[in-house]
Amino acid sequence: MSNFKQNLGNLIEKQHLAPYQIDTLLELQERLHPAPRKKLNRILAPGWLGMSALVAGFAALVLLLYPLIAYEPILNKIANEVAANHLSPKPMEIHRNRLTEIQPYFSKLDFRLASSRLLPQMDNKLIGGRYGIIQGVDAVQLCLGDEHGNKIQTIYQIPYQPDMFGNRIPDLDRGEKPVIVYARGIKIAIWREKGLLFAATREE
Amino acid sequence: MITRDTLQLLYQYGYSLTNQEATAFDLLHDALEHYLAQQTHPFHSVSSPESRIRQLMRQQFFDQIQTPQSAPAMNNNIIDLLDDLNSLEQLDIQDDILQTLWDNLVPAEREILYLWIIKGYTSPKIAEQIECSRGVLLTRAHHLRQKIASHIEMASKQRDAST
Repeated sequence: MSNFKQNLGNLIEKQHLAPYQIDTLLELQERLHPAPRKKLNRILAPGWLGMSALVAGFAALVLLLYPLIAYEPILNKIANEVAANHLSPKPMEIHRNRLTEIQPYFSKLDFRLASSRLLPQMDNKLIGGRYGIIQGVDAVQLCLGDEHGNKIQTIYQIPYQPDMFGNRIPDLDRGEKPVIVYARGIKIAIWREKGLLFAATREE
Repeated sequence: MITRDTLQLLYQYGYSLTNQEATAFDLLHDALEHYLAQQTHPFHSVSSPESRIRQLMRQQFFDQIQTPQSAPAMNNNIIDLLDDLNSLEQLDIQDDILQTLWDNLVPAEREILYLWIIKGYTSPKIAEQIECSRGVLLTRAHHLRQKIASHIEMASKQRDAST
Protein backbone atom coordinates (compact mmCIF):
# COMPACT_ATOMS: atom_id res chain seq x y z
CA MET A 1 0.00 0.00 0.00
CA SER A 2 1.25 3.46 -0.70
CA ASN A 3 0.44 7.11 -0.89
CA PHE A 4 -1.98 7.98 -3.70
CA LYS A 5 -0.51 11.28 -4.84
CA GLN A 6 3.08 10.13 -4.68
CA ASN A 7 2.36 6.87 -6.46
CA LEU A 8 0.34 8.50 -9.19
CA GLY A 9 3.17 11.00 -9.64
CA ASN A 10 5.59 8.08 -9.99
CA LEU A 11 3.31 6.45 -12.54
CA ILE A 12 3.36 9.59 -14.70
CA GLU A 13 7.04 10.40 -14.21
CA LYS A 14 8.23 6.95 -15.16
CA GLN A 15 7.17 7.83 -18.71
CA HIS A 16 10.27 9.04 -20.49
CA LEU A 17 11.18 9.94 -24.01
CA ALA A 18 13.65 7.48 -25.48
CA PRO A 19 17.04 8.95 -26.48
CA TYR A 20 16.21 8.71 -30.18
CA GLN A 21 12.95 10.57 -29.56
CA ILE A 22 14.78 13.35 -27.75
CA ASP A 23 17.26 13.55 -30.62
CA THR A 24 14.36 13.83 -33.06
CA LEU A 25 12.85 16.72 -31.12
CA LEU A 26 16.17 18.52 -30.66
CA GLU A 27 16.94 18.15 -34.36
CA LEU A 28 13.50 19.51 -35.15
CA GLN A 29 14.35 22.59 -33.10
CA GLU A 30 17.71 23.02 -34.79
CA ARG A 31 16.16 22.64 -38.21
CA LEU A 32 13.40 25.17 -37.64
CA HIS A 33 15.31 27.48 -35.30
CA PRO A 34 19.06 27.21 -35.85
CA ALA A 35 20.91 28.44 -32.78
CA PRO A 36 23.21 30.91 -34.62
CA ARG A 37 20.25 32.77 -36.06
CA LYS A 38 18.69 33.19 -32.66
CA LYS A 39 21.95 34.42 -31.18
CA LEU A 40 22.48 36.94 -33.94
CA ASN A 41 18.96 38.20 -33.64
CA ARG A 42 19.46 38.75 -29.95
CA ILE A 43 22.70 40.62 -30.50
CA LEU A 44 21.12 42.74 -33.20
CA ALA A 45 18.24 43.82 -30.99
CA PRO A 46 18.02 47.61 -31.08
CA GLY A 47 19.45 49.49 -28.13
CA TRP A 48 21.45 46.59 -26.87
CA LEU A 49 24.84 48.02 -27.59
CA GLY A 50 26.36 51.06 -29.20
CA MET A 51 27.41 50.70 -32.79
CA SER A 52 31.09 50.13 -32.05
CA ALA A 53 30.35 47.54 -29.41
CA LEU A 54 27.87 45.95 -31.79
CA VAL A 55 30.47 45.58 -34.51
CA ALA A 56 33.06 44.20 -32.09
CA GLY A 57 30.51 41.90 -30.50
CA PHE A 58 29.34 40.69 -33.87
CA ALA A 59 32.89 39.92 -34.99
CA ALA A 60 33.60 38.05 -31.76
CA LEU A 61 30.36 36.15 -32.03
CA VAL A 62 31.02 35.14 -35.60
CA LEU A 63 34.37 33.75 -34.53
CA LEU A 64 32.89 32.09 -31.48
CA LEU A 65 29.97 30.61 -33.33
CA TYR A 66 31.86 29.71 -36.45
CA PRO A 67 31.24 25.96 -36.02
CA LEU A 68 27.51 26.51 -35.68
CA ILE A 69 27.32 29.00 -38.51
CA ALA A 70 29.13 26.51 -40.67
CA TYR A 71 26.38 24.13 -39.57
CA GLU A 72 28.65 21.18 -39.15
CA PRO A 73 27.85 19.16 -36.07
CA ILE A 74 29.92 20.46 -33.23
CA LEU A 75 30.76 16.97 -32.04
CA ASN A 76 32.51 16.13 -35.29
CA LYS A 77 34.47 19.35 -35.16
CA ILE A 78 35.69 18.66 -31.65
CA ALA A 79 36.49 15.07 -32.50
CA ASN A 80 38.45 16.10 -35.58
CA GLU A 81 40.61 18.50 -33.61
CA VAL A 82 41.23 15.99 -30.85
CA ALA A 83 42.06 13.23 -33.31
CA ALA A 84 44.43 15.46 -35.29
CA ASN A 85 46.31 16.47 -32.15
CA HIS A 86 46.39 12.88 -30.94
CA LEU A 87 47.91 11.65 -34.21
CA SER A 88 50.38 14.53 -34.49
CA PRO A 89 51.18 15.34 -30.91
CA LYS A 90 53.09 18.44 -29.94
CA PRO A 91 55.63 18.25 -27.13
CA MET A 92 54.36 18.35 -23.57
CA GLU A 93 55.01 21.65 -21.84
CA ILE A 94 55.01 20.09 -18.41
CA HIS A 95 55.59 16.56 -17.19
CA ARG A 96 53.84 15.55 -14.00
CA ASN A 97 52.06 12.39 -12.88
CA ARG A 98 49.29 13.85 -10.76
CA LEU A 99 46.51 16.30 -11.60
CA THR A 100 47.17 18.36 -8.46
CA GLU A 101 50.82 18.73 -9.44
CA ILE A 102 50.08 19.77 -12.98
CA GLN A 103 47.35 22.28 -12.11
CA PRO A 104 49.64 25.17 -11.00
CA TYR A 105 51.29 25.26 -14.41
CA PHE A 106 48.00 26.22 -16.05
CA SER A 107 47.64 29.43 -14.06
CA LYS A 108 46.61 31.46 -17.12
CA LEU A 109 43.34 29.59 -17.50
CA ASP A 110 40.03 30.74 -16.10
CA PHE A 111 39.07 27.24 -14.99
CA ARG A 112 40.52 24.44 -12.89
CA LEU A 113 41.31 21.00 -14.12
CA ALA A 114 39.03 18.29 -12.78
CA SER A 115 39.15 14.57 -12.38
CA SER A 116 36.47 12.52 -14.11
CA ARG A 117 34.54 9.48 -13.00
CA LEU A 118 35.30 8.04 -16.42
CA LEU A 119 39.03 8.41 -15.98
CA PRO A 120 39.82 6.85 -12.60
CA GLN A 121 43.31 5.96 -13.80
CA MET A 122 44.18 9.58 -14.54
CA ASP A 123 46.63 10.02 -11.66
CA ASN A 124 48.39 6.73 -12.30
CA LYS A 125 48.91 7.21 -16.00
CA LEU A 126 49.29 10.96 -16.38
CA ILE A 127 52.44 11.90 -18.29
CA GLY A 128 52.01 15.61 -18.72
CA GLY A 129 50.10 18.37 -20.41
CA ARG A 130 50.15 21.51 -22.52
CA TYR A 131 47.98 24.47 -23.32
CA GLY A 132 45.69 23.77 -26.25
CA ILE A 133 42.74 25.16 -28.13
CA ILE A 134 39.50 23.44 -29.05
CA GLN A 135 37.13 25.31 -31.34
CA GLY A 136 38.97 28.53 -30.55
CA VAL A 137 38.55 28.12 -26.79
CA ASP A 138 41.53 27.83 -24.43
CA ALA A 139 41.87 24.24 -23.34
CA VAL A 140 44.21 21.90 -21.54
CA GLN A 141 45.55 18.88 -23.34
CA LEU A 142 46.55 16.05 -21.01
CA CYS A 143 48.36 12.90 -22.00
CA LEU A 144 48.16 9.53 -20.37
CA GLY A 145 50.76 6.84 -21.01
CA ASP A 146 51.46 3.20 -20.45
CA GLU A 147 53.92 1.77 -17.95
CA HIS A 148 56.80 2.61 -20.30
CA GLY A 149 55.78 6.24 -20.58
CA ASN A 150 54.50 5.87 -24.14
CA LYS A 151 51.60 8.16 -24.88
CA ILE A 152 48.37 6.21 -25.29
CA GLN A 153 45.55 8.64 -24.61
CA THR A 154 44.83 12.33 -25.21
CA ILE A 155 42.33 14.16 -23.05
CA TYR A 156 41.06 17.70 -23.48
CA GLN A 157 39.33 19.77 -20.85
CA ILE A 158 37.65 23.11 -21.57
CA PRO A 159 34.98 25.13 -19.81
CA TYR A 160 31.54 24.05 -20.96
CA GLN A 161 29.90 26.84 -22.97
CA PRO A 162 26.20 26.23 -23.64
CA ASP A 163 26.09 28.98 -26.27
CA MET A 164 28.70 27.15 -28.24
CA PHE A 165 28.00 23.53 -27.51
CA GLY A 166 24.26 23.67 -26.92
CA ASN A 167 22.60 21.20 -24.60
CA ARG A 168 23.14 18.09 -26.62
CA ILE A 169 26.43 16.96 -25.18
CA PRO A 170 25.77 14.29 -22.53
CA ASP A 171 26.07 15.43 -18.94
CA LEU A 172 27.62 12.82 -16.64
CA ASP A 173 26.35 14.65 -13.58
CA ARG A 174 22.83 13.91 -14.81
CA GLY A 175 23.46 10.24 -15.33
CA GLU A 176 24.00 10.47 -19.08
CA LYS A 177 26.64 8.50 -20.95
CA PRO A 178 29.37 9.99 -23.13
CA VAL A 179 28.78 10.20 -26.84
CA ILE A 180 31.24 8.27 -28.98
CA VAL A 181 32.45 9.89 -32.19
CA TYR A 182 34.97 8.55 -34.68
CA ALA A 183 37.34 10.93 -36.42
CA ARG A 184 40.34 10.01 -38.54
CA GLY A 185 39.97 6.42 -37.37
CA ILE A 186 40.23 7.42 -33.71
CA LYS A 187 37.47 6.63 -31.23
CA ILE A 188 36.70 9.67 -29.11
CA ALA A 189 34.41 10.02 -26.13
CA ILE A 190 32.88 13.44 -25.48
CA TRP A 191 30.93 14.45 -22.42
CA ARG A 192 30.45 17.21 -19.89
CA GLU A 193 31.11 16.91 -16.22
CA LYS A 194 31.68 19.35 -13.36
CA GLY A 195 31.05 22.27 -15.71
CA LEU A 196 33.77 21.17 -18.12
CA LEU A 197 33.70 19.57 -21.53
CA PHE A 198 35.85 16.46 -21.75
CA ALA A 199 37.05 14.89 -24.97
CA ALA A 200 39.17 11.77 -24.67
CA THR A 201 40.60 9.36 -27.21
CA ARG A 202 39.91 5.73 -26.46
CA GLU A 203 41.69 2.55 -27.35
CA GLU A 204 39.59 0.21 -29.46
CA MET B 1 15.82 25.95 -27.15
CA ILE B 2 13.39 23.69 -25.33
CA THR B 3 15.51 21.66 -22.92
CA ARG B 4 15.48 17.90 -22.48
CA ASP B 5 13.85 18.27 -19.04
CA THR B 6 11.05 20.38 -20.48
CA LEU B 7 10.58 17.92 -23.32
CA GLN B 8 10.24 15.11 -20.77
CA LEU B 9 7.64 17.11 -18.82
CA LEU B 10 5.70 17.82 -21.99
CA TYR B 11 5.86 14.18 -22.99
CA GLN B 12 4.44 13.20 -19.59
CA TYR B 13 1.69 15.73 -20.18
CA GLY B 14 1.02 14.11 -23.55
CA TYR B 15 0.94 10.72 -21.89
CA SER B 16 -1.54 12.03 -19.33
CA LEU B 17 -3.85 13.11 -22.12
CA THR B 18 -3.48 10.10 -24.38
CA ASN B 19 -2.47 7.28 -22.03
CA GLN B 20 -0.44 5.96 -24.99
CA GLU B 21 3.30 6.39 -25.38
CA ALA B 22 3.47 6.58 -29.19
CA THR B 23 0.52 8.96 -29.43
CA ALA B 24 2.01 11.13 -26.69
CA PHE B 25 5.21 11.49 -28.70
CA ASP B 26 3.35 12.32 -31.90
CA LEU B 27 1.30 14.91 -30.05
CA LEU B 28 4.43 16.53 -28.62
CA HIS B 29 6.25 16.43 -31.96
CA ASP B 30 3.40 18.12 -33.82
CA ALA B 31 2.88 20.75 -31.13
CA LEU B 32 6.59 21.53 -31.00
CA GLU B 33 6.71 21.88 -34.78
CA HIS B 34 3.67 24.15 -34.67
CA TYR B 35 5.21 26.22 -31.88
CA LEU B 36 8.52 26.64 -33.72
CA ALA B 37 6.75 27.63 -36.92
CA GLN B 38 5.02 30.40 -34.99
CA GLN B 39 8.33 31.78 -33.71
CA THR B 40 9.25 33.39 -37.01
CA HIS B 41 9.57 36.98 -35.94
CA PRO B 42 13.17 37.77 -34.97
CA PHE B 43 12.25 39.44 -31.70
CA HIS B 44 9.27 37.33 -30.92
CA SER B 45 9.48 35.56 -27.61
CA VAL B 46 7.04 33.62 -25.49
CA SER B 47 7.37 34.01 -21.74
CA SER B 48 6.69 30.33 -21.13
CA PRO B 49 7.35 28.08 -24.10
CA GLU B 50 6.43 25.04 -22.00
CA SER B 51 3.02 26.47 -21.22
CA ARG B 52 2.46 27.48 -24.86
CA ILE B 53 3.42 24.05 -26.20
CA ARG B 54 1.20 22.39 -23.61
CA GLN B 55 -1.64 24.60 -24.81
CA LEU B 56 -1.00 23.54 -28.42
CA MET B 57 -0.90 19.87 -27.44
CA ARG B 58 -4.16 20.29 -25.63
CA GLN B 59 -5.92 22.02 -28.52
CA GLN B 60 -4.70 19.43 -30.98
CA PHE B 61 -5.62 16.49 -28.80
CA PHE B 62 -9.15 17.60 -28.04
CA ASP B 63 -9.68 18.64 -31.65
CA GLN B 64 -8.67 15.16 -32.77
CA ILE B 65 -10.96 13.29 -30.43
CA GLN B 66 -13.69 15.88 -30.95
CA THR B 67 -14.60 15.93 -27.31
CA PRO B 68 -15.73 19.17 -25.74
CA GLN B 69 -12.98 20.61 -23.59
CA SER B 70 -15.41 22.12 -21.17
CA ALA B 71 -16.72 20.20 -18.22
CA PRO B 72 -20.35 19.61 -17.30
CA ALA B 73 -22.24 22.61 -16.11
CA MET B 74 -21.35 23.84 -12.71
CA ASN B 75 -23.60 22.81 -9.87
CA ASN B 76 -24.04 24.48 -6.53
CA ASN B 77 -21.94 22.02 -4.63
CA ILE B 78 -18.79 24.11 -4.62
CA ILE B 79 -15.92 22.46 -2.87
CA ASP B 80 -12.44 23.82 -3.09
CA LEU B 81 -10.39 21.82 -5.57
CA LEU B 82 -7.39 21.50 -3.35
CA ASP B 83 -9.45 20.51 -0.33
CA ASP B 84 -11.21 17.95 -2.46
CA LEU B 85 -8.17 16.44 -4.12
CA ASN B 86 -5.94 16.80 -1.09
CA SER B 87 -8.28 14.47 0.76
CA LEU B 88 -6.98 11.84 -1.68
CA GLU B 89 -3.38 12.62 -1.01
CA GLN B 90 -2.80 10.21 1.83
CA LEU B 91 -5.15 7.59 0.51
CA ASP B 92 -3.62 4.13 0.52
CA ILE B 93 -3.95 2.36 -2.77
CA GLN B 94 -2.51 -0.81 -4.27
CA ASP B 95 -0.20 -0.26 -7.24
CA ASP B 96 -2.20 -2.46 -9.61
CA ILE B 97 -5.42 -0.69 -8.66
CA LEU B 98 -3.74 2.62 -9.35
CA GLN B 99 -2.91 1.55 -12.91
CA THR B 100 -6.46 0.39 -13.65
CA LEU B 101 -7.76 3.61 -12.16
CA TRP B 102 -5.47 5.63 -14.44
CA ASP B 103 -6.61 3.64 -17.46
CA ASN B 104 -10.25 4.26 -16.59
CA LEU B 105 -9.97 8.01 -16.27
CA VAL B 106 -10.87 10.20 -19.23
CA PRO B 107 -8.21 12.51 -20.72
CA ALA B 108 -9.58 15.66 -19.09
CA GLU B 109 -9.40 13.96 -15.68
CA ARG B 110 -5.85 12.72 -16.19
CA GLU B 111 -4.93 16.23 -17.30
CA ILE B 112 -6.14 17.72 -14.02
CA LEU B 113 -4.16 15.14 -12.08
CA TYR B 114 -1.02 15.90 -14.11
CA LEU B 115 -1.31 19.63 -13.47
CA TRP B 116 -2.04 19.06 -9.79
CA ILE B 117 0.61 16.43 -9.07
CA ILE B 118 3.44 17.00 -11.54
CA LYS B 119 3.20 20.76 -11.99
CA GLY B 120 1.93 21.47 -8.47
CA TYR B 121 -0.52 24.06 -9.74
CA THR B 122 -3.22 25.66 -7.60
CA SER B 123 -6.85 25.55 -8.66
CA PRO B 124 -6.89 29.05 -10.28
CA LYS B 125 -3.79 28.12 -12.27
CA ILE B 126 -5.27 24.79 -13.36
CA ALA B 127 -8.48 26.54 -14.40
CA GLU B 128 -6.42 28.96 -16.48
CA GLN B 129 -4.46 26.13 -18.10
CA ILE B 130 -7.48 24.10 -19.07
CA GLU B 131 -9.41 27.20 -20.07
CA CYS B 132 -12.46 26.88 -17.89
CA SER B 133 -13.94 28.83 -15.02
CA ARG B 134 -12.91 27.99 -11.50
CA GLY B 135 -16.42 26.88 -10.70
CA VAL B 136 -16.42 24.38 -13.55
CA LEU B 137 -13.05 23.10 -12.42
CA LEU B 138 -14.26 22.67 -8.84
CA THR B 139 -17.22 20.65 -10.02
CA ARG B 140 -15.04 18.51 -12.21
CA ALA B 141 -12.59 17.95 -9.37
CA HIS B 142 -15.41 16.93 -7.09
CA HIS B 143 -16.64 14.35 -9.60
CA LEU B 144 -13.10 13.17 -10.06
CA ARG B 145 -12.64 12.67 -6.37
CA GLN B 146 -15.85 10.63 -6.20
CA LYS B 147 -14.83 8.57 -9.20
CA ILE B 148 -11.44 7.77 -7.74
CA ALA B 149 -12.85 6.83 -4.34
CA SER B 150 -15.53 4.69 -5.98
CA HIS B 151 -13.01 2.90 -8.18
CA ILE B 152 -10.71 2.13 -5.28
CA GLU B 153 -13.57 0.85 -3.15
CA MET B 154 -14.90 -1.37 -5.93
CA ALA B 155 -11.47 -2.71 -6.87
CA SER B 156 -10.66 -3.45 -3.24
CA LYS B 157 -13.94 -5.36 -2.81
CA GLN B 158 -13.26 -7.42 -5.91
CA ARG B 159 -9.81 -8.19 -4.63
CA ASP B 160 -11.15 -9.25 -1.23
CA ALA B 161 -13.83 -11.43 -2.87
CA SER B 162 -11.29 -13.21 -5.03
CA THR B 163 -8.96 -14.02 -2.12
